[in-house]
Amino acid sequence: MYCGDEVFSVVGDLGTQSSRFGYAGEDLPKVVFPSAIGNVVHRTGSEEDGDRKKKSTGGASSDVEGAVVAKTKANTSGTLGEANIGIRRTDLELSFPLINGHVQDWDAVECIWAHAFEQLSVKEGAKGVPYMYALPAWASRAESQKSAELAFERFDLGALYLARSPMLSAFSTGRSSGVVCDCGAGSTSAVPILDGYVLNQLVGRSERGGDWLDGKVGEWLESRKAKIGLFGFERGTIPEYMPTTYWRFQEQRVLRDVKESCCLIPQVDSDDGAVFDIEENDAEKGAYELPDGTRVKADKTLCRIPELLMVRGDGAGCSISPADVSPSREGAFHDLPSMVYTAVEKADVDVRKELLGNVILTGGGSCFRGSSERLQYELTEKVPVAYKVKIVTATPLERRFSAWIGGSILASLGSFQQLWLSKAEYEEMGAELACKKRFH
Amino acid sequence: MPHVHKYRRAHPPPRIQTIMSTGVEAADEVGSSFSQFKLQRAPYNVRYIIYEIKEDKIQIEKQGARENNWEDFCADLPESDCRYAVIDVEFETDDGRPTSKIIFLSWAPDTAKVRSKMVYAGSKEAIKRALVGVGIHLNATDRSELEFEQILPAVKRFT
Repeated sequence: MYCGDEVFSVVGDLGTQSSRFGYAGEDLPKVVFPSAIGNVVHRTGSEEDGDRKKKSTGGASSDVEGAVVAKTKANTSGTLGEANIGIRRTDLELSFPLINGHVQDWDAVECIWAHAFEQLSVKEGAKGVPYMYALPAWASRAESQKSAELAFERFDLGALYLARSPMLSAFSTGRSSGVVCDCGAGSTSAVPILDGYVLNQLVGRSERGGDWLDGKVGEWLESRKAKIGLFGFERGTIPEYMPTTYWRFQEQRVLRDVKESCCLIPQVDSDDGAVFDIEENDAEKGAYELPDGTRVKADKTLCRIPELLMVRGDGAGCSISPADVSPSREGAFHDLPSMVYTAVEKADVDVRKELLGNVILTGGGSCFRGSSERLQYELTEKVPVAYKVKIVTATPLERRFSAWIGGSILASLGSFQQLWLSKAEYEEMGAELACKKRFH
Repeated sequence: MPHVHKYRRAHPPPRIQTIMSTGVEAADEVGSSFSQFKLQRAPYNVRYIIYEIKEDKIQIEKQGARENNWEDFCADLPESDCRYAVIDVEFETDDGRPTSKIIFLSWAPDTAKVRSKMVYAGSKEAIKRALVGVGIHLNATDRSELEFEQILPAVKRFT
């Protein structure tokens, strides 16, 4: 048992696109920054391609010593804080800790944590800080073990709790049963939970999320012959001395902004299934101005891009190419209504009513206008009449941070303090046993 | 007559995993008073008991006298805070027999503070452990779900 009363604890939630960290008990995360690590590259040749050389990192640990915000060019590596991102840099190769919700690069995760702790003034050697970390429902046992090892052995934290983010989201809406639909950047998922258990076998998940939609926005721009010009360069061409990862990252930021400013999910008439025309019902007629001054007119195709995550697999009632919405080869669906439906269908008959009555829509990708109404419509169409579908949503801000908010509240409860996995317990049991006993 | 755990028993979690909880436990009086409530023995010969979470414990907040009805019970639930409750519901079965059932209801209005919703949702398993023998678990998140006509079909499934 860890008695952490009166000690502030840190809550962290690492996403594919952004990371959210802050102190427990607060309403919103203190620091939110892109989940990207910048490695400064040093060129030996003048501007020759392929002559880039990463400064020798000298193994993971020394790399991490410098894992702070890239304040000066002397830093070998650094997490990109929001402040460092807007400026033009020609010396940064980016790496990403998560790809589609799975950890790809543990060194990068370590850098992100280090950066967050630095921002929150949890200094090296500030022992005894409890840390609540949100893991996705599909995080493997190895992933939780590795997180525990990192927390205790690398960062020397006082205590740890690995929570499942769909559980946190559900609890923060006051539900312990339901289907948590998380529209993230790297993936979209429908996670059924029952009485506080995640039903792992029934999780529906697709690696199409916000980033995939960004790609679609990019394709649309291309079809309009509009290319994104960044930093005053010729449009669409990556300067030779600009690291590709950095360029793509910046490009995606623009695409995301286009998506967030122009897109919405159109409503469907519940009587005849006709999709409401956007032009008629919305004032999205304005133009979007790209960073280089090009103006593109937002049209129906652009506005309706996020609909791709909401239409049923058969593509009924929409003018979207079937290839974009048909299930993958393994039969997994990409659209949220089918994911929810399959998850509920696989669950036992007695619990279906409860699951459908508590469909919790969360994640930044759910903030498009009309998401919950459309999901409600699509699901109601699919399920038998006897079932009542209820979509639960919070405010857009709470949706973006729902797992973090849940973690923040949980970690600040007086009664919760006995549930931390303390360092002493960890040392006694070891990572494998500790995670198996406490967090599975 | 024993209350049948109709679906909770039929559904063990697919994989044994530690349940996420808030660490809130039920006060001793919750369990002991409930066994008297089941038998309708004084001082717990009441219509309903409402529980709240106070000082990290689940405690009895209010009790409703035997002559109270469903509307009185609903009126006793706070507008924008969560509660748990057990109610002895009397109704007529479809074939006309008067009967009664004890139901457990968790009240988590959407208007409640996030913190309160979180604590009550995360502590539900603790109170369910303390209330031994309740077969009917219901949730309500707004007043419309509290209407007796909404509750009744769910209760009747267990008769």
